[in-house]
Amino acid sequence: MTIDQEIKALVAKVIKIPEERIRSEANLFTDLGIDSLLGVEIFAALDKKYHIDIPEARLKDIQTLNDIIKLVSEFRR
Amino acid sequence: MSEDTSAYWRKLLELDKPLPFDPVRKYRAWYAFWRPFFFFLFEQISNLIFPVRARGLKNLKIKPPFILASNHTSTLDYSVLMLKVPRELSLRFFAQAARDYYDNALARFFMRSFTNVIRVDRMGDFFPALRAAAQVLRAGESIYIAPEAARSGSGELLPFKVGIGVLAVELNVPVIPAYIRGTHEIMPIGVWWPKKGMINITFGEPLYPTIYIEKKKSLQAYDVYKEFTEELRRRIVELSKLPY
Repeated sequence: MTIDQEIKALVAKVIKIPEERIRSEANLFTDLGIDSLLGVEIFAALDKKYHIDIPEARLKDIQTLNDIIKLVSEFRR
Repeated sequence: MSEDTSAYWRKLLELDKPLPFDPVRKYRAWYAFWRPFFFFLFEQISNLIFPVRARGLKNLKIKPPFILASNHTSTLDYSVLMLKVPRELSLRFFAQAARDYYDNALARFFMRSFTNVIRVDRMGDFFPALRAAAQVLRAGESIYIAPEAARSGSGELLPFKVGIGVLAVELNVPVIPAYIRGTHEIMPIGVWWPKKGMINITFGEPLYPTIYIEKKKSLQAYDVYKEFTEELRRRIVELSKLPY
């Protein structure tokens, strides 16, 4: 499993939406209807899995799965 | 494997950092000294125009800190609740208020005359307000939160935001649910002077987070906060169905 697939699986698990419904460019908040605190929970799950400390202020930078993947790669460097 | 993700939330709330010397100082209005007079004045106006009756007052007799949460349909809501909270407590109560209203000088004057205000940025980063509320609760002070995060224009209860669950579960503080009946008819959104009428408040039994803290061991933190918040909403709906 690539890291992109891993992140997709993690996001799907957190927001309880089947992986196949999460398109890379779909807006998590407007298309999939998640709220901002669930966005924080995605950060919490990433922190637990990859031990990366993403500040909550970066929440505004994530709209799509692709944004999350980019953010994780930025913090894993 | 444990699903518990609360370590991150606790970090964001800065729960592991020591409290500053006077953590609530920046939320206190310098003119709070006239709050007792303001409450007295408001009580006289209330008795004349919109008398307030309350039941379940025994539920307020718990040791602070606690969170008081109610339905929200009117700018009167906080102040009428405070008429029924023991005065020694209501004078030092905190409340979250939308920054966009707080920016209006007159609204700010009234808000700060009634309470110690924690501003919430509804459009942007909401976490500083959660962190401030956590600090206030850790300092032993109680706080009012309208979990709908906005006034309901129809009078119907809106969905609740999960922030109240985050605070209650992570700080292990009880939430006292309350249902206010009458303020929507007396002074709904867009009305700036109250009509004559009766206000009835029901305070419910405190909702303690103990079992939810246990649940964090097997569930992701957000789900636990949400479950707590849903239970709180269910209790306020129950209070709304009680005949007066």
